[in-house]
Amino acid sequence: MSDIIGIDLGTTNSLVAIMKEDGPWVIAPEGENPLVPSVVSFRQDRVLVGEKARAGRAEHIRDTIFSIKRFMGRGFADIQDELRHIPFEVDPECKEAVFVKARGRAYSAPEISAIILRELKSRVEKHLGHRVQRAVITVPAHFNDAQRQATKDAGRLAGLEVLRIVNEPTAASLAYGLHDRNRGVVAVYDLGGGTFDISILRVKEGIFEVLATGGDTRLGGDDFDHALSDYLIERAGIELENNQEAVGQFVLAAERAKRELTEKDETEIVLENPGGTSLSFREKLMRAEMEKIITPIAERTLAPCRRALTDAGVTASEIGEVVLVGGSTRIPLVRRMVADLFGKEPHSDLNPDEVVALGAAVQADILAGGRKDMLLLDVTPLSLGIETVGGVMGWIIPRNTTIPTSQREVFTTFKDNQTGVDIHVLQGERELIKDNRSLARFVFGIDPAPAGMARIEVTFLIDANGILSVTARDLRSGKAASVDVQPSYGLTDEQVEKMLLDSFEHAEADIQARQVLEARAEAENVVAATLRALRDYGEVNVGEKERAAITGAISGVEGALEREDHQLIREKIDALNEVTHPLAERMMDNVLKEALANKRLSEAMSD
Amino acid sequence: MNQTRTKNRDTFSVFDENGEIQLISSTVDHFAFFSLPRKMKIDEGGLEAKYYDYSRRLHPDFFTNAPASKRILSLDASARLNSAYKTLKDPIQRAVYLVELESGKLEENDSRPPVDLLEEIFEAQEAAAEYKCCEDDAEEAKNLRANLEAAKECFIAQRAGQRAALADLGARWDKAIDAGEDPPAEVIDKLRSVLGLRNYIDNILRSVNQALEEA
Repeated sequence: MSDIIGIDLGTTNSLVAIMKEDGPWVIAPEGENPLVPSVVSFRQDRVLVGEKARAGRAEHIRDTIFSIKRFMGRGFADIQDELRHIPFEVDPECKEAVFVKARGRAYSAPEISAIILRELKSRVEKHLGHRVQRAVITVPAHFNDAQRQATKDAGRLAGLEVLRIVNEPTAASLAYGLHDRNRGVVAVYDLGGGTFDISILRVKEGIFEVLATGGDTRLGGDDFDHALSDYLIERAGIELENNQEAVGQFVLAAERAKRELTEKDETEIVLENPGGTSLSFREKLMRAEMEKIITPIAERTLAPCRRALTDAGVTASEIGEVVLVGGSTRIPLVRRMVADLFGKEPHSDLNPDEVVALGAAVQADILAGGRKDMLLLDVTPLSLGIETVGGVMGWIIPRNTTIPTSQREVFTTFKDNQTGVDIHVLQGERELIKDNRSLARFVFGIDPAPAGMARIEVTFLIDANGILSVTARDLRSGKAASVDVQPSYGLTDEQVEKMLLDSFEHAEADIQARQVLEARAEAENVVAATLRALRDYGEVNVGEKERAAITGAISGVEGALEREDHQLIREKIDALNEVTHPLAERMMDNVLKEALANKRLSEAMSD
Repeated sequence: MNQTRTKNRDTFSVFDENGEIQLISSTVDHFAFFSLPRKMKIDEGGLEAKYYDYSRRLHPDFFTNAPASKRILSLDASARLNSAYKTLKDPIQRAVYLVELESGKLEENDSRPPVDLLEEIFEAQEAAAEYKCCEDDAEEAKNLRANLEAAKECFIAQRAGQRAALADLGARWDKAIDAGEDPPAEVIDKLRSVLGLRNYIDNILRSVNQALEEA
């Protein structure tokens, strides 16, 4: 079995960690910083990642992509306010997913992230001396479904099987909890480069139970930089409307000033001819001035904290410990605000830049079977619902529900002979769908019938990654209904497939590997469908002998899954389909009989 | 009905004799899932302990390297465990679930709010709507805020009254179950009415809180 690595894919910096005998460790080549700046620079003849990309950023500001995480799982319309501060190009043509442009080629956000992930992967491989394929990747707790899916896509594009998407604040709590599995109620305040999260957990007997989480996926250190650079540009008295490069230089200068003012009371900003202008800019900035500028932004973290407390059903005084995570919590103003809110000094005993990656490695160790005494029970950060009459949200799964979780709903048709039922799924807390985030439209194929006769049972399942899957069955025919998914944001499966193809050199081995992957995915679906059919119909409809045959065929598929042979897997899938065929037939019969009986009953009633 | 109650409780187990996760049919209710009697009052500490115990044995984290079928069983069973626990740990959700289990889904016409309550609700709704769009007039905003705060207090008090009624009805329900009888129809009807009213109060409280928060 191969190792599972833990990755913190951050807005500003990314890190990789692995579990060793004596605990989790961040991995870096000898003498190098474990923090890999999340920066990708497209130069004439090569692609630079990390520190090298960042170091030359000022000179190559148009072809250097940074803070790509803010664009993951988002559409072009979502990022309008941010374009002003971005020196690189964004493709306005693509609406459902953000594509950035560098040297004439467009890259999706997951592709850029994949370049960073590949760098981290190769760091570990050099360190261990062998290949790694499986990873745990962290995301902000408040990430929605599309953003999580985009992160998984990035992993896939980097040649990693993403075993788990873990929330950053909860990952941090795992790192803290290694030495004390009974910490009581803990608040994790996580302010990074681009995102903010607050999570309230109860840690008891090794169970890390998230009570509530809240946050803002567009609130972080970058916003401080933008506000500061706007201030500096105003002080310079210059109009930079169309000079993205000059704005980029100001943002870089603002970020440097912010860092210095974390340690010192005063700093000086010097900019000579930014973006080809004739400007010579020199300005002193005091910490108090900076704090005045960033206070309104930092204060935006307070409302999510209060709401998380309410949702968790605890008061600030019941919080035993407040933990700070993320580079932006180094800012003294932020620490003071957190202390005031919770009425106690927050701490960051573990390095706030590293703690999330360390926690990811702990989670990886749990998944690998290395630890049985710790378990994370996380929640879904956003309420899930569907569009109902009048554009009103029909709630399916409320926010802060422990995952995995599932909910079944039965739908019917409004028109005669409808062949599909269309369900629009959204995430968010507002009453009207227009104010929430559209996830996808699901179209379920059904057999034609008079209006109101169809009964489609839809199961909404949110897995331990916080990612939604939807399955449906036609209660009249007993068949699983076909599902056509149209995601509202992010890449479609076909797009990811194509990018995968583009990224490989089409070697025989790659094609082989892809065929195995596809066969495996199908095998899992067939096994899942069989088990669920047994669950829903098996009690009365399946005898001992038939059950044994089905279980045997499932074992056959599982045996094949252990090997790298897609033909064998397909053979076993066919064999399983064969033994379940009679059951499927009888399921249909039964349901038909039932439907007929019901019909007779309803006819009798209407007489 | 008594028969199914006994049958589920006595025969269902999440794990088979080898400790492997079983298929959990949707006919298994949340009480049967946790092997609990269908009562309003339950041992909440015991429920939490069982939830933790099951979580340690069912969670997908511990099945990463298991065969596909076991991973699927673990995922489905964990989803089921979390729903069951969420419903049963909260006394109100538990009461709603139990009443619906015995007497069908709660419908809107189970409870018609008394006229004076309806009036209070309408007034609060109006104040909430106005408060959201009166940013320009500070005096007006102050007044509305005071109104909303007062309405909030009133609804919170109403809720406390309902809680007392629920406690009383719950005790009568449990007494019947302990005696091996069905819960009295009168108790079921009253519970349906109180729980239905609760929805009105919860909804209006949510709107009022939202209005107060957003401003």
